[in-house]
Amino acid sequence: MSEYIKGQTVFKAESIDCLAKALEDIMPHWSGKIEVNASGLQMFDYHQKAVRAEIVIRQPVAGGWGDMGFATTPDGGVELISDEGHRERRRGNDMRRGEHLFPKIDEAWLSQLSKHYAYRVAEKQAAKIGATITKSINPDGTWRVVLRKPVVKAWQQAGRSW
Amino acid sequence: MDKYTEIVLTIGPGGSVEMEGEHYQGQACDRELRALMDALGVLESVDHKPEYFAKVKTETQIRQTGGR
Repeated sequence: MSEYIKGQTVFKAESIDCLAKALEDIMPHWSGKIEVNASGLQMFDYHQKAVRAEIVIRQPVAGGWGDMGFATTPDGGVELISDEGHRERRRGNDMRRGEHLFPKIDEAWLSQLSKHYAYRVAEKQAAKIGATITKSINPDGTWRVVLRKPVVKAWQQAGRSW
Repeated sequence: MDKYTEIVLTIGPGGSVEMEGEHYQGQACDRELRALMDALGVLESVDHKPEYFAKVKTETQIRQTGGR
């Protein structure tokens, strides 16, 4: 090894596609319900206020919509748009009310989402540099992800065959 | 010379990441790890290993022309 790096995953606008995949990873029942559009979509919050977001998951509530979504920010980041109902909702109560589309949006949920997002970004980067990717789970629950690619010699990079 | 290079990434709770390059020579590791870190989020710390400072071997073909 020649370098060791530590960092923190941050949702980025350029990887909004990876965020959509990560959402599907942790919420399989959202498959087919996650709308993604890099140009932006209109969603409605709990108070029926129209908001723009690049990722939208729609949820009908009494008298309208209580969608949640993710919108890009001018600094290249991504922000979660969810109302207090999403954040405070308990899954058990939701099931009783028949509103089980959304989970409780809390730190644990976002932590899980970040982990899957990081993997999806690594997967995208692997494809970009021509590497294969493998994932295994360490005993402590962290993920070990390996991006492996053949060494390309200088003359191969130049496209020469001699 | 190793046939493969590897980036070994450890993804922890909340998306904390640690990564290291394996079988790289010189600063090629730096470029690829930083590109991945840049895509992932925010760089917090970097530690260089001795191999980082190794000179990259270049393969050159010397053609002997003969005579003086």
